[in-house]
Amino acid sequence: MITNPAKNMYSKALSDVRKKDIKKPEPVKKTGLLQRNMQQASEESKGSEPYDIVLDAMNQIITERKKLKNVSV
Amino acid sequence: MSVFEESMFNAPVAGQGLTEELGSTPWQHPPQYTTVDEAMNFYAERIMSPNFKEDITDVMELGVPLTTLANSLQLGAVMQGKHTIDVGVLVTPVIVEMLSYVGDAAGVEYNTGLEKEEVDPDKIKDSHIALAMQKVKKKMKEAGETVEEPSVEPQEEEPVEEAPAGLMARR
Repeated sequence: MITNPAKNMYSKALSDVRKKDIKKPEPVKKTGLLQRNMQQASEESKGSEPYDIVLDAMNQIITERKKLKNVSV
Repeated sequence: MSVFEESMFNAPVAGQGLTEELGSTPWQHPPQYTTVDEAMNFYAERIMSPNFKEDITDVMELGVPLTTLANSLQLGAVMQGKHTIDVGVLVTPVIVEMLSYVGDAAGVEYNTGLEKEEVDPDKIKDSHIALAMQKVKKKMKEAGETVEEPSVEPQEEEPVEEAPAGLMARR
């Protein structure tokens, strides 16, 4: 079966954008030797990876589209 | 000669792609846009231009899926040496979103390519019919029967007597 790479990529990006919207609270470990705030760690690893830039851009366009639909309705 | 055999002879010779001089094609040079950001800006400018908008909305109205359009756009840019394939694949979701924005703004009903096709259970696909025909032909050949192709013989046209015309013609 011939598949369209754009189709696969778009469906994956859409699901990732939706996942990104749902933010889970990170667990905070305050006791023991490995005392570490996991939230801080996740913020540290947040780099501007190309895929993250793509997801951000998608999010922006999706919000613009929603605005457009609200205006037209 | 069957269509398959004909197309086989029209195919390029093995190694033909290596006979061209290295660097003679745009995709053999370093790409113009190396990052996803640059590529997105390139597409944003291109897609939002008025001429492109008109053309693309016409294509959308024809029912061509946006994912197919996005894929052909990015492949075209790769062939022009604008960006690499990996940047193109990464950017495709943004292109699809941009196209859907254009479609929404123009009020066109479009197909993103993720919608499920409605399958009619009574309708048999053309490809299935062709495959079945091929199997039947193969079996008939194995059995030693000849496959009769429907021949179209030229039919002679009956001469039509021309009606006399003119002022002095008898009726």
